[in-house]
Amino acid sequence: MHPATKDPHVWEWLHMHAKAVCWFKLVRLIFTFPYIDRTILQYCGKSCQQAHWSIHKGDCKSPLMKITWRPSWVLEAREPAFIGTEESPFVDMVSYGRQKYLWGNVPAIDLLNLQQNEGVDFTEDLRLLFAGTRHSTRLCPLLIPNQPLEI
Amino acid sequence: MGHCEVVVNDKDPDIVARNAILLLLALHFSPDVATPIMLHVWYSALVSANMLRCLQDSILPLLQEVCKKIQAKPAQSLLSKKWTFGTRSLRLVLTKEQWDRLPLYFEVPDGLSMAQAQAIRASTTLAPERKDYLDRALLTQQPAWRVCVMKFRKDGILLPFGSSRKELDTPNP
Repeated sequence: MHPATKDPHVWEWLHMHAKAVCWFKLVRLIFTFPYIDRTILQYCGKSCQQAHWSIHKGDCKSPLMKITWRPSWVLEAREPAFIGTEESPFVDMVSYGRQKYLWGNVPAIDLLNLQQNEGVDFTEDLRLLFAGTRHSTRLCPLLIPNQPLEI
Repeated sequence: MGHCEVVVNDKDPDIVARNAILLLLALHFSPDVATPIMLHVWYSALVSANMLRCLQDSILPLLQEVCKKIQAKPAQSLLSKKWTFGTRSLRLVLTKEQWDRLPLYFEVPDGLSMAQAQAIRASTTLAPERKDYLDRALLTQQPAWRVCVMKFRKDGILLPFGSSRKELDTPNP
């Protein structure tokens, strides 16, 4: 051990400023999912971790954290809403929330992806068309190469 | 070096306005300034007061200038404006009526609180009608990820789980 760490003041400083993690979550995750990134919440020190506990415990102690968590339809012993019945095998479309499709159902992705496609040294002209509709599954980038353009 | 032309269209004026604002942010500010503003304008129910000020001080005037020039035009006439930023440019084509609505996206509606803004978003992301669909998706996720997913659906702020949300104190107009 480095001589400096024998100094109680240094040790206390190290202890205060070492990253503290949520140990409950860490222990649970080590034994259940050994290959995932375990720390989603880190603190700069023990005092911050303790100060935050009254807010954090709601997440840490959430039923969602348990391996034994089960969806509502299991707990309520009923058919889930996405399963039809014998009388009505097709699930009805239900309207909910605001009728806005701000993000569609496709995340933001690099459609061009030059590195994987034309290459990062690609110097020819590109034209992309996003004709757009309310459902992003119908977004269709249309690539028309080799047409010089004035922008 | 070649040219790159991108044409973007949508039939929803709110989506068109959002796309135009995101592009103007990307073209007007440097990447390190534009990125967090774009991220929260796009995905979060709340923005910081600073971000809203940047939008109102730098992007809104670009649109107000156009609205002032086209005051006398008919409501349904198609009008185009092109802004140039160095070697890049953006051309926006809208009806006069749609142009006049653009500045409204920079104002927080009177009386809209943070909690109300988050509740409006949660009426879709946590709709009771969709609980079983959401539970079905959570079932296949790792426990800590479920907590993270639900936090995003509930508070509507796109940030790492442990990040402070203190600065984001203004409803995203």
